[in-house]
Amino acid sequence: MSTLKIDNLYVSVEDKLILKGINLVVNTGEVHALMGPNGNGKSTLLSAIMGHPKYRIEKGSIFLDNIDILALSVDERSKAGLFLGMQYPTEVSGVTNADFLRAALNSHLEKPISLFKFIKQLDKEVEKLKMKPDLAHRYLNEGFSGGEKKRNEMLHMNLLKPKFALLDEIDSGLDVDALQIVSDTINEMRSEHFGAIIVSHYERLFDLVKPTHVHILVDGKIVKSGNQELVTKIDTEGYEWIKEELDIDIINESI
Amino acid sequence: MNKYIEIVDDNIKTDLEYYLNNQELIFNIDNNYNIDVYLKNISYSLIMNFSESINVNITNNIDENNNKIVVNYTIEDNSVINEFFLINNDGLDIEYYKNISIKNNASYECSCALFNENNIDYNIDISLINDNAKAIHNVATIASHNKKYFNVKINNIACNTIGLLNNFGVVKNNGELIFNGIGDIKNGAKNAKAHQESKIITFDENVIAQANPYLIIDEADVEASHAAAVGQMDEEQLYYLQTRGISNNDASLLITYGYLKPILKNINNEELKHKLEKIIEDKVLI
Repeated sequence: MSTLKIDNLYVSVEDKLILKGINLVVNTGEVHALMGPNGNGKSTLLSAIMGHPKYRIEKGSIFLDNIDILALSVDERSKAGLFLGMQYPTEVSGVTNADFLRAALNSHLEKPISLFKFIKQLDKEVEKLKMKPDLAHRYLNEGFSGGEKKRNEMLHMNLLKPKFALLDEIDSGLDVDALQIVSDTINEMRSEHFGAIIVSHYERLFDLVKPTHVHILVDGKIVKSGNQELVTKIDTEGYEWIKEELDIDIINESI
Repeated sequence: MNKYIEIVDDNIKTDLEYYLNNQELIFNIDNNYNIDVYLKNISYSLIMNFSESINVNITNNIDENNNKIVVNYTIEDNSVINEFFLINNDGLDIEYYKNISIKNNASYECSCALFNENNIDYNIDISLINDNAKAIHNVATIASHNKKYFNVKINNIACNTIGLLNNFGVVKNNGELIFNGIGDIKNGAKNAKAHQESKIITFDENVIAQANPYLIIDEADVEASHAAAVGQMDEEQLYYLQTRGISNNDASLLITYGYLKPILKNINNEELKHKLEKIIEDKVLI
């Protein structure tokens, strides 16, 4: 079993403090749903864990087992077993999916994968995700529809087999069929060797990918944790009740 | 049919007919050939006259010790000339001057892959002198520890002529890269088209990078455009590749490779396309 432990994390972006003391422990075998109103720090948390250069760690620590994640570069974090599925995957013109994925896969392996084995593996995953067969030869995310981009993120996750996946609104912009495919992919990954933090606004994703834990993030802090009932309550009632229950004045004082 | 021209220290070896006129070395090409040209230390001007309705592929290899090269082509009606331009070694500075005249319905396409370590001053002047003449000129280059200047001019002189320029470059390590793209549409060249695109990525701050588009238009009934961009490597792209485990260095190489590769889509000849792809791969993804 592996553990991702975030301790008293403070993060700022362009001198604005966004995360104000996040404490979160995720074990492999668990799926943590992270919910909360827009602009309260959910994506910031995932980006900070992955190491986006724009996000500055002011205080706190992140450990993957005994590895100090904050001491690692972005690529080293990936190799340590972290994966970030992005809300808006970047387009990279001129670099084909196949070239990119092979470079990515090889960076995780001690011995490079043979071309034949790589193509076989890629073809299998592409078919499973019901992606267009010419995907390997297309430039990375260029001209992809929103749904294709998200499925491509799932393809990366499948090939890289991380210990922990951080999935940022992986369900946004997906039609019903694509949502099913993405959910199936995450569910197939679920095991005692895989954990996830999933950011989403919608119950429909968490109906398909049942979280073991649910957290609400407001104003840079996890203000409430619970189980799936919390998802249903938010879906029907929104976030206002949380603000009332927790007394919004207290949150304002801490700014 | 494969032919060759090899000139080393002004010694001429070739299986093509030629004659010398003062310092001009003249070839009259009248058949469908693939011609490999290898030049090393040449003081002649190289003149090639392509006759009507032929299809010729030229691969130019320029070796070290050339410091000035002058080349003139005349392309007669309905002929298609594809050229590939490559400098092999990292020797002396090179000055290159080329004049091309293209006649009725003829077309000329040239792709330059210049990743050598020496300075280069590359000048080409293409004239579309009769109706429906067409020219495409592509450059993919890296200026690293050296200066590379490209002056590419296409003159639309007649009706329905098409001139396209594509310049893609990367500058790093105190390098200097200047693209001057000039489209000159003369009066009377109705329905002429002149389009150009220049893009440069800079890797570090101590470099000089310029993409200067010029369009000189003296005719109302034309279609012309230019796009020029000089910018740094996209941080978000670098980050994205790194999140998948690719190191910063490998990620920049992949992006550079991807950046130069769109030049390939402008090349119609499949064999030359593969050749150039291989060169970019070898030079960039070391």
